[in-house]
Amino acid sequence: MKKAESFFISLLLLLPLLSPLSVFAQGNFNVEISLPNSYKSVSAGEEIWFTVKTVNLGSENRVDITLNYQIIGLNNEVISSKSQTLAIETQASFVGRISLPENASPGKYALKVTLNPIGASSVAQSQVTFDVVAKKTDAQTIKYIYILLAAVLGIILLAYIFIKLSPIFKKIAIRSEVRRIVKKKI
Amino acid sequence: MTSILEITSVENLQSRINRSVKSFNNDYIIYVSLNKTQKSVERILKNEGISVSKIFFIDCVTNEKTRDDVMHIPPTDLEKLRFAIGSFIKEISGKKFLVIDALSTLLIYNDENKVAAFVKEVTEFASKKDVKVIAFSPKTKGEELLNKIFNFFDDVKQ
Repeated sequence: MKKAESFFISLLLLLPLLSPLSVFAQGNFNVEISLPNSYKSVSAGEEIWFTVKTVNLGSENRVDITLNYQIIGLNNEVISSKSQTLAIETQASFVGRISLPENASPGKYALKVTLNPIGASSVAQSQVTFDVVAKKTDAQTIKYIYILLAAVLGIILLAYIFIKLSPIFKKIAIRSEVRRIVKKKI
Repeated sequence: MTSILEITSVENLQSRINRSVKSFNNDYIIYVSLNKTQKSVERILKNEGISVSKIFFIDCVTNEKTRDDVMHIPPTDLEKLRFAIGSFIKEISGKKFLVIDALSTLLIYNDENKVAAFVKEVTEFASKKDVKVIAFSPKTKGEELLNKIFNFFDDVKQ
């Protein structure tokens, strides 16, 4: 009985010491998110690819974590989100992607990642900014439309000039031929 | 200069043309051939002892170019024909005559009013340039046209 009591008391004494360690273990996560240059300026509706690096300094054991990705606008509105659950040991790097909504307005946005060990509160965050620009296809389509319009106008103009000048060319040809015939005969 | 419209029977048409051409033979002639090819006309004239050395042919019957001193103009293109006649009149210096055989043949290819307008333009231009115009037409064809163009000529012979 005395042995059990002393064990229990030791445990009670040790518990406060252990707690900070577990807290330390839970808080010892680091997460970094980065965007390749090609995704720092994207159009609405496109997919954004990124890399995530997670570090677990609190334990060598495998830990289950949830990564929450959010795209946040200037007014702090979340326009897109995604979650991912995985197990990491000390560190992990991987590639992720998230879709930008079709109706996202041009402007500055942030891609935020929040790391939550399963069963614990949020401990690590990272974010990176990027720009949403007007759709390339729209700009390209407009460019092609202008080129097509210019080509059509050019053709119409050429046709008009040809129609107007055609009788003049015919007359020039006739006069030239008459001159040649008269010169030959006289 | 005068302009004459000769209306005659089909049988006498060519002989009347030959006679006129013979009378102008020392001067240049612009011959608009509407019912015979230039080749045929030349043969007929030569058979009559008429020299063709001073005749400039505008062949409106065929577009087959056998000689490079003959102009070929389709009878459907009155504007082109008018311009060609005008060009010949301008280019040939000295005295010259304009002969148009079988004027009413133009009715086969053109509207009557257009032919009348063509005749008016040609006779007016020729008159300004002191060119005598002799136009022939068969009696049996194009009476309506003849009624319209009588007044464009200084003299009408039947």
